[in-house]
Amino acid sequence: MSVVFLWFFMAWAMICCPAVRACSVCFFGASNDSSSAAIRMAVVCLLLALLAVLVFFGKFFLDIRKRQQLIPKKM
Amino acid sequence: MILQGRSFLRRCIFSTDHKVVGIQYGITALFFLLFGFCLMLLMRWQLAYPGTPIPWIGQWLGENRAPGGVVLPEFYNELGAMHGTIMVFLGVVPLLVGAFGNYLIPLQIGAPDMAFPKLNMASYWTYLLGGLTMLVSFFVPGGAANSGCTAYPPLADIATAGQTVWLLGMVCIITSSLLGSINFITTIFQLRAEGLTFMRLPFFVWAQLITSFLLLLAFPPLEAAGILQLFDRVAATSFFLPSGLVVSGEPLKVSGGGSALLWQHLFWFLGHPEVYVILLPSMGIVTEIIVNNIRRPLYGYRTMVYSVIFLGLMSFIVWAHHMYLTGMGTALSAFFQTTTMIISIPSVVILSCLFLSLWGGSIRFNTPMLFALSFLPMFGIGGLTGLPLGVATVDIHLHDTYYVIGHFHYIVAPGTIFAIFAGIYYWFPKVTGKRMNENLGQLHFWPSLFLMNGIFMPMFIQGLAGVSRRLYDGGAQYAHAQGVLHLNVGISMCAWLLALFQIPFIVNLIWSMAKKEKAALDNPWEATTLEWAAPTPPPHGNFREIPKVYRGPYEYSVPGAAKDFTPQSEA
Amino acid sequence: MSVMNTAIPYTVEARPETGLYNAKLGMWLFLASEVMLFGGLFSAYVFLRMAAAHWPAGSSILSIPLGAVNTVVLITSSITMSLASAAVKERKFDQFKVNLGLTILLALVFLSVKSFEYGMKFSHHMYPKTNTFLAIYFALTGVHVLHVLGGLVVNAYFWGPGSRMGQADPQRFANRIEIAGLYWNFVDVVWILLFVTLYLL
Repeated sequence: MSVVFLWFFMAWAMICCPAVRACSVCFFGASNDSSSAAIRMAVVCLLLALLAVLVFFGKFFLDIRKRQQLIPKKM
Repeated sequence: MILQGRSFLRRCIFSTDHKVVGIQYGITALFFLLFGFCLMLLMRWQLAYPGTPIPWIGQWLGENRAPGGVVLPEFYNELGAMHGTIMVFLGVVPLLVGAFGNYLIPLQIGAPDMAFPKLNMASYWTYLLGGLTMLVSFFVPGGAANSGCTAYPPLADIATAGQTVWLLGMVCIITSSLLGSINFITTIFQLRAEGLTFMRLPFFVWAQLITSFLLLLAFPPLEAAGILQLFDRVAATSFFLPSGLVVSGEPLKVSGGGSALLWQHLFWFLGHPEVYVILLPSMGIVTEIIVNNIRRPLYGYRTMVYSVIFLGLMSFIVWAHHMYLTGMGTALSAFFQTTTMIISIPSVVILSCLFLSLWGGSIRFNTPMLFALSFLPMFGIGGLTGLPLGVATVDIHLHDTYYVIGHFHYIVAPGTIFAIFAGIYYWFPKVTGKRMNENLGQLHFWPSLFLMNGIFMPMFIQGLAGVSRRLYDGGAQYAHAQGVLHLNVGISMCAWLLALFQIPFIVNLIWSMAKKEKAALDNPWEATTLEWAAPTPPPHGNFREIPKVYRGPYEYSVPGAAKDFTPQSEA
Repeated sequence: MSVMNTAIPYTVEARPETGLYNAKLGMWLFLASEVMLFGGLFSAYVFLRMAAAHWPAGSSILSIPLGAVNTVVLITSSITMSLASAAVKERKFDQFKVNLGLTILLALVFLSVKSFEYGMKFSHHMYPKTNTFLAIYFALTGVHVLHVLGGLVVNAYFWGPGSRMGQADPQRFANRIEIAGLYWNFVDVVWILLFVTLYLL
């Protein structure tokens, strides 16, 4: 009997309070919370800075390769 | 020997010679490694026998840390935070990058010194300053930093003064590694000997190059985070403090509006590449030693180089897998879960190449080789146990448990530290001209291998049972921990025995250094890379004449050659 | 023991493969790490702004005219820095002295305006702890001011005691001015970004 009651209670809770549906991966089940949106943009911002630097280094590597081929091979 | 005809002070203390700086780094970092290890030994007593006085040592810790020899919770937190900080930032990374990188990179690329010798010296002295700052923080009121080595706010924002000292120490260490990494990259790009193209670089140099890029680009966001936390602590801002925070029943008088999420975001942007800062040079060391002791070429040199580049790139975009449980949302979790799965591929490629290299080799089982070989399975265990943690759903259960401790210690303790030992045994003859004792080496290796596993394997069991890693009494309050808490005694026993079996190493190191006679050979391991072509120990300027390079790094057992190894500098 | 050749190559002339001398590569690498430092701070700005329930418009707190003046000042100083670098390459030391002197003066003007702005904020009881906008404003501009100060000290050294190298080793000195100029231009670019994000957006 108590088990049945527990099931009903859980079902009621799942339907009526969204906070119960929350898992620890998002705020109270709301992944469109302003913090979530903010951290997404912060990640994108840092990735853009990183991308700029890495593209620069990539270009530098290719540049070295090009220059290396222009230098006459001695060995 | 080095820098003849100069005063002792200029020669050995304020030297700009990369070898002296490397040795300074090495000795200092070994001391820090030992110190951090001792902190852990104290913690292990508290975990194995919670609430009982530590025998002998307990009375020396002071009444405000351990009254009657029983460790206080606050002191336990200090031990935990400082163990992590000292081991990673003052022990392992300075050894791998500062000591091995400094000593070996110019030798392996045939350069007379680093590109910026004065910066090199500055890098060591800032590192030492940072290290001493960390040590001093134990004596400020309230003790050292006690918010974990990750310094998570809001706890770290409201912690005792030790946290501010910790931040200042970190700024020194960040500056030091910035100077070091600029120096390393410039050296590798600019000072390679004639004929030493990128695809002829030893794998160790490649690993150090990628590592330096990681240090260069990953540390600054932590510096930014450190500056913001300093603001929080000193200028009472609230970058990391949410509105309406209540501490000990009192609402905190700050403007609010920040979030702990921001700290984690910036901290882990360093934190994850830092793992690869630790790992890549270890792989480099292990590769050098394995390929020398199998007497055959490396399997898949190019594949390994491309893998290590890919590994470096990927390590920048996995950082938020430490933040699955922060509420950052499922979209980011999915992205970072995918990149985390991808990053395991290049690691496995490198590991496979090393394993495949063993096939058909005539293996010499000397001490450095034993340490290097044991790196492979130990890193394998550490890496593979990381995969479940990379899956967001599994991480909900495993997050912040002993499973995580077991996982990353398998990579840094029996993995990386074994690589460091291997490197010390392997390059000791080059540094001093003397060999380390083989019997003592074996006495060091075998117990260490078994005891390391004895320490970290049970942690997986504890973690799977759900025991949290941050508990002062190891989780005695929790019902779900009861079945696995007895393992703590065994783990602690193994840890103390491990300390005992480091004595052969220390004895070996000092005794071998004090030996009178010198190994006459410049190349005792019959290796091919350039550092063995230099005189022993290498003088200021390194080479008798600037070497020229005619071949790849690992030409062992070339058919038709007179010997089973052909040095890179041999025409 | 024979005498070792301890001279480090490519300190002055460029290595053919990379097309750079050591210090120039070093400066580029340093700037790359600086991009990440400010990237981290900007990322913090983005986070705080988006997570905030209410974010004040920059113009309502900061003085756009003062910021604009500072922008013009710093851009001008960038130009004079480039002129100084070009002059020293052609061994025109008088022109170099004038231009570098102007750069230093303009940097001082920038710092004076900045400290005036800070003073105004403090006199209105606007401290870093007042709200997160002011906190990130002071953090970002504070770190930038430190960079300006650093550049100022270096430039002043090259203008004063360091300029003796100009006669003794002109090529090396020209290199030094060149990389000091790289740094100074970077500081300028960062300020423009700061001006746009903090004052205008």
